[in-house]
Amino acid sequence: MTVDSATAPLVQVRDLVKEFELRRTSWRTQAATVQAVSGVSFDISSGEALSLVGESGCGKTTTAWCVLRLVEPSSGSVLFDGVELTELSAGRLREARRRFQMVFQDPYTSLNPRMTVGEIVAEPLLVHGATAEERRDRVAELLEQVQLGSDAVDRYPHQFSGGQRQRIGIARALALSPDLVALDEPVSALDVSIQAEIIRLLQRLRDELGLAYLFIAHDLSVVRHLSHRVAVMYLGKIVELAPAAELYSRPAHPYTKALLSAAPIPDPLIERDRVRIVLEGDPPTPTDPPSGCRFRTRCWRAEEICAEVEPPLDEVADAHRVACHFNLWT
Amino acid sequence: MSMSSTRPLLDVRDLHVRFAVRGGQVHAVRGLDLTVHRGEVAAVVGESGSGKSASMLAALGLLDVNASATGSVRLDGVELLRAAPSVLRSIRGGRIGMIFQDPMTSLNPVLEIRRQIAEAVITHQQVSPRQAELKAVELLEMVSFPDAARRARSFPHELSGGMRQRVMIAMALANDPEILIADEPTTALDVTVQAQILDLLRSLRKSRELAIVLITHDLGVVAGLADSVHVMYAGRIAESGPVVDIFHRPQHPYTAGLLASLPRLDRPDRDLTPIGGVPPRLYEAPVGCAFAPRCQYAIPSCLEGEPALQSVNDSLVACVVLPFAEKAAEVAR
Repeated sequence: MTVDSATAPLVQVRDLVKEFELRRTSWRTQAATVQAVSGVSFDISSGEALSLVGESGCGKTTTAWCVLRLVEPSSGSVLFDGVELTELSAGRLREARRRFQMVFQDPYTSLNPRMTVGEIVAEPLLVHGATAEERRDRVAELLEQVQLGSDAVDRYPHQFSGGQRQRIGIARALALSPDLVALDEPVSALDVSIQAEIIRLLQRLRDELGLAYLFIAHDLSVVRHLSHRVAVMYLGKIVELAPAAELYSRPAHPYTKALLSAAPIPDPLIERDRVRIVLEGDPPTPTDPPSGCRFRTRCWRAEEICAEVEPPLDEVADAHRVACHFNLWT
Repeated sequence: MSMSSTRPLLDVRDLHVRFAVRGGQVHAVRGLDLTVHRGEVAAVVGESGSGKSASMLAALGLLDVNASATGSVRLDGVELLRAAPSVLRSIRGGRIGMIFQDPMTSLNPVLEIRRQIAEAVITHQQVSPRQAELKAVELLEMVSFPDAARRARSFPHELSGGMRQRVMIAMALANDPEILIADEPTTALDVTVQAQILDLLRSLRKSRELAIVLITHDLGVVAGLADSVHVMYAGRIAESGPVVDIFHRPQHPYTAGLLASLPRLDRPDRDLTPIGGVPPRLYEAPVGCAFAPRCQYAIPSCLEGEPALQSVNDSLVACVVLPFAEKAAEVAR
């Protein structure tokens, strides 16, 4: 699923930038601009799951929020099925949002505790003008889709476990039959034995309903189970973008290699003898990113050119793009 | 020192922890047995509410006022559960070091980090404040804190999460402890920073023969660090044994279920098999085996009393559907 597919992609993001102004709050601090997202471009086709992965502060969540226009991007373009989302008026945007919805990380805080599950799941339908009867039928259908019993309708969120609450959040996101669902760390607040259920549910819904996913996660092993393509972000930029199987088997960017090598594998025999790439230090502050390649301050391959020239996100193999001066793709 | 060199450093016997809550009590830890030897890394794993943190807080006398602990926790033969507060104070931060999940809330925001580390030194050693601060810089160097001499004057908010966790580890090591209790030490950290901290813990346990009790839900972290693994479910040990046995020959259906539900980077094509259902809430004692309602291998006798721990190979397993080994290995594969 690349640029050469017959139909235009569902979502086309081009040169997306989001800056936040930091005001001066005391004599010790200075006003600064944080560039959370610095020129990000990608496509999502219908029915495709694209993951944004990276560590905290890399801009993955902000990117998703800009795509859904939950925050206003500073510049750049987001085409959703041919419509430029960044230019829509508030009213038109609300109408457009039918087709893209979001599931949040924390199932404990993203549901209103004073509303019943039925009311929570029906709310998007109410906003978009469905009748009481339509709402009741659709809610029953949705609860079945996410495998919650129909008796859930009259109960409140606190009566459910974390995994069940995440199902409620997913049912709400699906209420308007969207084409795209953005999932922000949907399983990271859940216990392991529950995570697997939600991952399987998301896989099934993707396949049955033909949903496209914009999946945000830091856990590379979870990502692998849910995505067709993966974009790795570092300090506001995509450093590598490739089909999932390709990215995991032949990572080409030093940062991707480091991320994969740092992710623990639950097997003591493998873990013991594993050669790890342990990066030094922490990601630099986004208020003052390094010149040239932003990863160079932690990169073991960095040379002079890395400080001077920013590497473009070039294609090294079919549909595999990497922003690095050295060809580490093998 | 006593003559018995094989005496465990930490010996927990029949530990019970109960929390008084509105309208009753929660029996969070229900008879925990655990031994940790010198230089051993013992991982206590389990999901939220399994009692893994509560049991260690009980051992350290750090439970809230609404909680009560019974049983026995011995450090090198010294009973901690009924110890006087002054004894506990000298042991905590002395012979036992502690690090917690969130390094931001564990540090004092308005004190330079060298002062905070020095405070840990002064509490337990007869040294001048000046000496204690020099020792603080030494400790920071030991945990690979870059530019330690200068950055010892930093405040916690000026440091990244990984650096704060290094400060916590430096404090925990200030008085040369024999055992370190680490409660989810890397959970709040990014994966590349987690790798740094795990490397640090690995090198510390080697260079100082430090015993570590690693409390975590992350089986990947366990695989890379632990010698022994103690799997807790609903306040009890479901299975405990050497790390390779636990991962490669799990004997308890819950252990096998956990392993089968884990997404694995190295096995992308493996289907994930969730454990259905949710862990019991411990407002009332479960009937029989607490895992039985979620267990695909449960038989009627599972509901007749809680299964006792029995030896299987080198592990201890609380399950009556033994021998389960073949089936379990199949599931985990």
